[in-house]
Amino acid sequence: MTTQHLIDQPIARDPAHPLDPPAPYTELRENHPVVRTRFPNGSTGWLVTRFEEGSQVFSDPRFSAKRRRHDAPEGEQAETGDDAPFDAGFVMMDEPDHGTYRRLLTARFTPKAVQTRLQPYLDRIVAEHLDAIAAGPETFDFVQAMSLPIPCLVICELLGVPYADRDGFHHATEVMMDMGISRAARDRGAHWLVDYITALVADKRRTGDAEGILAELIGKADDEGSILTERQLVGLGVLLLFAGHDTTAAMMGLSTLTLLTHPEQRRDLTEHPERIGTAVEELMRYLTIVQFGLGRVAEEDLELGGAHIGKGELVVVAMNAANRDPRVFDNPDALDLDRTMVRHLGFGYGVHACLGQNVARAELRTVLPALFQRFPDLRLATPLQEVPMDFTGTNYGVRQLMVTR
Amino acid sequence: MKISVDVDKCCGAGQCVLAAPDVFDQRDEDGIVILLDANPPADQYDNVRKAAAVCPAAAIEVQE
Repeated sequence: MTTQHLIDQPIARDPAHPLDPPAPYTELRENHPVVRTRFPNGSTGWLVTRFEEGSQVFSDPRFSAKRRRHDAPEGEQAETGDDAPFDAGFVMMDEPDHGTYRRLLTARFTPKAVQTRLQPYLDRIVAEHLDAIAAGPETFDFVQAMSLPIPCLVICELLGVPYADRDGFHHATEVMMDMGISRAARDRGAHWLVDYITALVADKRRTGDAEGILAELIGKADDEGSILTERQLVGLGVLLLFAGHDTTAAMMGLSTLTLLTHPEQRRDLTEHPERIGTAVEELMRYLTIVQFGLGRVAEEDLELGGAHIGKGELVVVAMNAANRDPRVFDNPDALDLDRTMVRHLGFGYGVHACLGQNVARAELRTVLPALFQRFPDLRLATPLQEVPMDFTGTNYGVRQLMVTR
Repeated sequence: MKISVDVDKCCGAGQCVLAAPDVFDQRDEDGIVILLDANPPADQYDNVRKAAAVCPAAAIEVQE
């Protein structure tokens, strides 16, 4: 083998280009598509920056989802072990267990279920929040006015979690997912969520409240011979609560910023709201908010993109780099809301592909056209480079987005 | 065209139903794929190919 490249993580973004993945990914993708990498905790593994190889990692059963935490400074401990604050459930399982547990939840997340059960609620809360913006100050923070509350309301409605508790669970989520702080500090966020869901489960058992996914899961856990342990039940509640709102909140804020900085395409979309389905897929591709990638562990020695991966090694797919792969997407660094594509990696790929993807799509498809139709003059209140970005969160996004209506 | 689906692989994302609603559906109880038409008419071929390509679990096999 020729010179072994070793890439240190994390790779910083260029603040001058806040909508693009870190610039070094371009060179890596062309010359070292599967490259040895050193994670912040000092352990080593592999980084994949091309689309086909990345898709293979997510779909080839020789890669396991039972992985160590790699993306934090201390990330050596097993996330599936009892030392982890909560049981991440099917996210960290392989087949057939993964499918068995995931299927406890899938019925609520199909396109049909989202359309019939969630869309009327979504239409109503989006209209209410647009009215509130119209009645409020001309310059406002879009994060607080829309891109945080809508996903919080939706996940509360789906799960059966009181919306009044949103400040607590959102803050705990932010802490838990902040890769810029220590593992011990992050775990404090995780423990808050575990305690919160544990108390909520006890409360629902006491009152017999039957509304929402959490109540359904309690029912399943309480069935005789259930496969769902108490620790798994709480873990699923934690997982759905943080993953169900933080991701979409990040994507909604970043999508809005992107449309604000692409005025012609935004105008086209406002005039042709029927194109929003295609536009949302392109925003998912272009922005790919998972900013440190997703990992799998090689179950055996294997070859991937010319690299020899050893059994037990961690392989991380930089989905934001793979979604800009010119082998798959023409002019990949350009936003093209009319772009047609077979698929992208914005929701991952393989059997672990995002469970809530149809909920996220519904939220984005509802909010974005309605926002720009209601406020056609909406504009940034600060220069793009002064928008505070979240460079350390598991999901990339805007911390604040000051706009003028 | 002959279609087969692998219900063990299916992860219930429902992208096939969006791509080819006349050919695929999902079970209400767990979102697993239902093949409505294993030998669809020619005007469905494009939709079916799209459904097979977009399926995250590669659970749809198409023989032409």
